[in-house]
Amino acid sequence: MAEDNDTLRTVEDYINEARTLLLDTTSPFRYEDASLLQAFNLALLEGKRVRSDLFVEHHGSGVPTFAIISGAEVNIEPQFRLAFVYGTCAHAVTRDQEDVQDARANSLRQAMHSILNGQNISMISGGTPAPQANGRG
Amino acid sequence: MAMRKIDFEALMNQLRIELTGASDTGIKYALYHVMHEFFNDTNAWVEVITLPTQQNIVDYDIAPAEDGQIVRLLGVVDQNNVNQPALMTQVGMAGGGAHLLFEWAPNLLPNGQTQNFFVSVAKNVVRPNSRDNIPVAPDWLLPLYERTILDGVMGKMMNQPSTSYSNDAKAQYHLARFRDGIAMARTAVLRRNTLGSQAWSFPGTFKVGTQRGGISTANPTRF
Repeated sequence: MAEDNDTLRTVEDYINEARTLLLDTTSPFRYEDASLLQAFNLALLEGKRVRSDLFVEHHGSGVPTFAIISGAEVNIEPQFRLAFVYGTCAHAVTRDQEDVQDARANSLRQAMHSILNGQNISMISGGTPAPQANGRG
Repeated sequence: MAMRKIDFEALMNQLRIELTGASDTGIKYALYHVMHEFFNDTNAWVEVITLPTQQNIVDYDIAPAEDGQIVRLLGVVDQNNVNQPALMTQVGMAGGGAHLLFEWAPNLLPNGQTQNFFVSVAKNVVRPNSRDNIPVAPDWLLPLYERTILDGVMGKMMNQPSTSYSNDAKAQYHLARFRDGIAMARTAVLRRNTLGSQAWSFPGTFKVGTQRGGISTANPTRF
């Protein structure tokens, strides 16, 4: 049963795991709690769009939204929970200004969709570009 | 009795293995529709309801004593096993009930007491499901027809577009097997789970109820 698995069960679990992937676990945080919580809520909206069957049993036609980071349970089947961690990170990284972060945000978002669509998880890519051969950059 | 957990979990595990990327909720929704089609087309879920009749009363409301909703009248017999003509003029009533209308009012017994009729009805699944959104179905369904139900759910799920488990060819294959399973189940029900017997016999109204031929009746009615 889905309820037997404690991994990524609560809102706090998702935010903490997102901070781990974002390397933002030390206060003062780069990404505020409110912004990560909003990113999580937006990831839920995207999840509803792609896989509404994950939400209909507990929320009918609606989508859950969370106002605070707490121990509130997020009713998602265990095999799909990781997708919402990637989705949260994707939106948070999209906010950043650096160009390289766009590629990382896209790959995180693609990983989210890969999990939700039952496909192999795509590789997380994006980072500092390598120096060019002509010595520039 | 409702489905046993061991049977249901075995079915779900098989479906989880076969349908990569499917959610439990999606499988349960498909399972309900598969069961609905199965019971509707086979009349396999039968309940015999004891109906205490009243003198000069031809209208009766009945309700299943167990789970499910009444969808079809299979027959009514009295205490002497004589068929009683009746119609089911309304189904889908509250509590899965239905309304019966007899062609004539039930007779009293020779001692003046009212008699019980035995109403055979076909049932189907009905919402609400159980607390875990599991369809409420009889406990014999999966031990007898798990293969058919499995094919039905596989076919319906694989028929969905743009999912990781979408497969038009496999969907056709499984749905064809599902319909075959329904046909075999319907035949088994008609033959009352016997091998080699005939599925049809003369209706009870053709039975000779006179004293000729040595057949005595406790409640002589019409010839």
